[in-house]
Amino acid sequence: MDAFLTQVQAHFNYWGYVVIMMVGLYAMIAKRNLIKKLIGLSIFQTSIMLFFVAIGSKEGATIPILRAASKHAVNPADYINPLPHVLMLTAIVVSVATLGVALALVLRIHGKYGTLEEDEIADQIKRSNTYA
Amino acid sequence: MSGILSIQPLLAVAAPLTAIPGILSARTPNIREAWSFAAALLLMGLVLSMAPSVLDGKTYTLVLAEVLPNAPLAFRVDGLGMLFAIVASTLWIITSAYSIGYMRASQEHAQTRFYTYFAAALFSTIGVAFSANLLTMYMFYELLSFSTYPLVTHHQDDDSRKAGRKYLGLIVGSSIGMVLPAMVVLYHLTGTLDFTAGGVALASASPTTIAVLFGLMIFGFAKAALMPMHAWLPAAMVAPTPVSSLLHAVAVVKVGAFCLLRVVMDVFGVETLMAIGVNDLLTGVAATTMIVASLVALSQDGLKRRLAYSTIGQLSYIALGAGLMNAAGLTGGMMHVAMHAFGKITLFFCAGAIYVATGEKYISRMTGIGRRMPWTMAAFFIGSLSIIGIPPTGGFLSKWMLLNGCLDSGQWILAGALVVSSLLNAAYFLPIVYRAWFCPEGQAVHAGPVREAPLACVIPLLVTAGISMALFFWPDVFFNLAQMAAN
Amino acid sequence: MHDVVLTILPLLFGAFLALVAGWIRPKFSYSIGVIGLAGSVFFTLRVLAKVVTDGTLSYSMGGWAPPWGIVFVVDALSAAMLVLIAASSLITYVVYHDEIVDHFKEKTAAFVALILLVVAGHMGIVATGDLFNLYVLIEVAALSGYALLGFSGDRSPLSSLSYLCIGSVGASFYLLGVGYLYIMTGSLNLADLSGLLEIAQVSTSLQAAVAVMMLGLWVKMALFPFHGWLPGAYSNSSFVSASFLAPMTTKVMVYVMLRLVLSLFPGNLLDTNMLPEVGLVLATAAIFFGSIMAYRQKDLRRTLCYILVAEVGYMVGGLFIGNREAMTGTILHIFADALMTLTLFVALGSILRHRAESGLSSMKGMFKSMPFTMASFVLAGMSMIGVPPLFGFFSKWRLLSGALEAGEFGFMAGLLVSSLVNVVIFFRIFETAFFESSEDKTPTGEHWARTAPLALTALLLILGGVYSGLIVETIVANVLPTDLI
Repeated sequence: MDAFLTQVQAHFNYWGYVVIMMVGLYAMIAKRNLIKKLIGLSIFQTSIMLFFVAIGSKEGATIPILRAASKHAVNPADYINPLPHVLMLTAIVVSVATLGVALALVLRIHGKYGTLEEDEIADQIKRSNTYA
Repeated sequence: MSGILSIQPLLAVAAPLTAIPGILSARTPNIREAWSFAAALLLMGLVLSMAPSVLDGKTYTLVLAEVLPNAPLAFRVDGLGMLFAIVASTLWIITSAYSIGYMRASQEHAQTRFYTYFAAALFSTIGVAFSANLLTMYMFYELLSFSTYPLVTHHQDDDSRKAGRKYLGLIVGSSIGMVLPAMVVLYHLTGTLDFTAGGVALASASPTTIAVLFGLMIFGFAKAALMPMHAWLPAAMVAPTPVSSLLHAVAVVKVGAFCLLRVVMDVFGVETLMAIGVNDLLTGVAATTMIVASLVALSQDGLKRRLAYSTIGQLSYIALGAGLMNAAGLTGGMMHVAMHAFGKITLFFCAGAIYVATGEKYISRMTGIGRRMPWTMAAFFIGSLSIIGIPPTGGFLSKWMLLNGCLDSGQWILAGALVVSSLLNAAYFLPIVYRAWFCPEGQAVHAGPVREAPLACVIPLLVTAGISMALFFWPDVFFNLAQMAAN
Repeated sequence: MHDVVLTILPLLFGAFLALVAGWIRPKFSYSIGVIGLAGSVFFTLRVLAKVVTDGTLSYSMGGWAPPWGIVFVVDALSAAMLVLIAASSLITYVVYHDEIVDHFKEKTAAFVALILLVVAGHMGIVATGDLFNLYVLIEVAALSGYALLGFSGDRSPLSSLSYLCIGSVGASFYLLGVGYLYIMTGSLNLADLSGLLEIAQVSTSLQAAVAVMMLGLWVKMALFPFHGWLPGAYSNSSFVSASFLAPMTTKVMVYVMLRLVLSLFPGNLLDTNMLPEVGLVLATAAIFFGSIMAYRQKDLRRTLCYILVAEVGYMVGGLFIGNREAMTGTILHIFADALMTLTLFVALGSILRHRAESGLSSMKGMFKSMPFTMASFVLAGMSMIGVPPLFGFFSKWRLLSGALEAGEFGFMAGLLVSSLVNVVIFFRIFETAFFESSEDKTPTGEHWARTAPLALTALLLILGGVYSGLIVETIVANVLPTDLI
């Protein structure tokens, strides 16, 4: 048990993102409301971003901004890796765009069915199929 | 054999296709049929132009496309292919004439579609005849199946629909389900699919593998109608008679038999097969099919259905010849491809002429018809003689060779089966002729003055009957080609 | 010099201009789309010609050299894929002129812009040589796709939303895999990574990276059992959107998987991993499942969707069998399947636009009313069945041959069974079109602008089959590693 806990504590960022990812997945699958599903999707994508950002951090390192005064050679170990952050900026943009498209679709769905509950929508579809 | 690299095989195969634009764009029926005729004559000319060299022992080759390593789409014209091509091209000309009479007299619908797909079917048939390897032959075999579907289901009624399902389901199902995997395995084992005289080198395969592959192929080429893959043939009789006659007496069924002969002679090779003993399988199946088909034919009242079962039986003669795997048997089998074609097509033409002239399809209602349609029934008589195998018709020669082949191998049972089957053939054909001519006045369903079918129907059937007899006296072309191929 | 990026530029500019035109003069938006797509086709053909003569082209974005910069690498296979994507989109665009202009009315400009973006996204996926850039382009293509699929039809927003959720999860898994690879190697460039991974040790994190990346791609390409989004998305949306996306998306994702397996993952990795076995099992299951479900559908569009699911199984199975013959089959099948799917969807769209519903009865008498369209439909169906000399036969032969070599008889059986089921499915349609005449008297004319492109794709199916040997020699053989047997 102790060994397990030290393991978890040593890699708590990795465990953290896994937990958040599972929360997001659960929300996407188990929740009936479409908006809640989208929130789950957002959480899911955010967990990946957290993972990437966590990759970049180093122990005892500072933010990767060089002051103009420093003319001597830079030791990479003093600065956290900026690349994952940059990548995640792009990923955040993608995530926001996804959310935008998704919300547009949700708006259309709401306009058509009047509700955002998945089971009610399924009922309406079933009823319209039996009439068709 | 030295191969002549030439474009002639491609021209010959493509010749039927030249008719299609003409047929589709023709403004009058006469122009349309003229195109069909012209293409048939062109085909005959191209085929015969290659005949002298082939009779000399040379072959024509042409590679179309290197689609797979060592298995290109390619043509090769040798003795067997030439034999089949001559039969098919001659009979196309005659059938074109017959179709004109039949289709117009019975006022069939969609004649343009009919002639178009007919040309496509001939294209596929000649393609099979001139294939250089299993892949090309498989390709044209499939194309034949698909191009004959609209012909079989021409009448577009419920019966045609059901028949079409049986036809396509059995033929395409067996080719995709049985022949294709067998081809892939064969390619994997030998690295080639070429037809090689004496068979492909199959040293690495176990006897069981070869036997299984052989079985898959002889049953997979369901157009050869070996039982139990025969059910499509009677079903296909819903087609208009020109279709039944050319395709199901000549083109489609002979393609099946041709594929069988190729598989035996040029894919596996006679020695390999005899060493394993699968020749007994083939002769057994052939003999069973022969007898059973003849028995079923006896029970059929529909004339075309009786002819269909007779065809099934006759095809198994060719299979028997292939299974005997000796010179006489193979030669006899190959000659039977030609002899049976001319004889059977005569019979089908007569069936169609009877239908056009009197509307009759059932034998029991054809009593006394000989007095009304003397020429037709005379031709029918000659055709029956050829099928039964009585001189002076060509059928006698091929059956004689087959009998010799049986005796050469000491296969008394098979010889007996041949004789029994011939007797059965007589039993289901001769009564038709007898009742047509010699039934008492009062019992005749059809009596009265001579009122034959249109000339365009009668002349072709007289021509083919004449050829059936002529082949007894001058079988040289076919005999030489067959003998060359068998050695 | 800028040839590679020129293939995408007409599309990007076109998308922007189409939107502008939508505000100013909506009538121009369709023509802008045509110009954009035609320009793209032209440049992709030029790239293909150049690659065949000169060898692989590479282009560094903004002049930044790899491995820090993003580089676009185009070899023979990529060039052929680029041509395929551009040409198939142009064909679909031209055929559906009436729908795009009249049907969508004031939304035409938006539709045109989305189409151009979707094509640009897919082309970028094929050309890029950077893993993260690949993720971004996958999402660009996907988002445009979600919007396109939600465009019209009453159930389309719902199906598109579910596609969005599933697709985003898939892309995120892929991104996760990229992250793992980055941790281990510090590089995101494909060529650089393959060098680094070859000398790296096969560790659990590498196995996890591979597994997660594959999972993401499988979701995106609708491999069984992750196919749930496909039938809904492609059959509930408007025909136009489905016809654009169906030939592209799944095939491009298979291509990505192929590249990753061939170029990225070191050889010994797949030996120790369970991935090939799992992949092959899922592929075989996909073939059986897809074929049986296709047979059971009453709606023709759903039938085609399930056939698509089965075809994905063909390609994935060929890849994971792993020998030269099977992989050649997979690559050939990418092209064959794209052409077949394009022809089938577009032909069906042409036929069904006159009919109220898309069941089998809508096909009654079609051979008489629309002979040319039905002719292309028949050819594409026969290619699906696997009739030589059509393209579908030769890719299927290679797959069968490769499976036999590897002793994968289950996969072989799947291929044969699906061919036979396809015979039944297609002949059911042909029968109805041939035998029955329609009671529906709405006029069903054939316009040459709709049938000529179909004739072209049908002709390509024949030519592709006959020249498949040539295609293998020039394009495929160079992609597969020389030591692959």
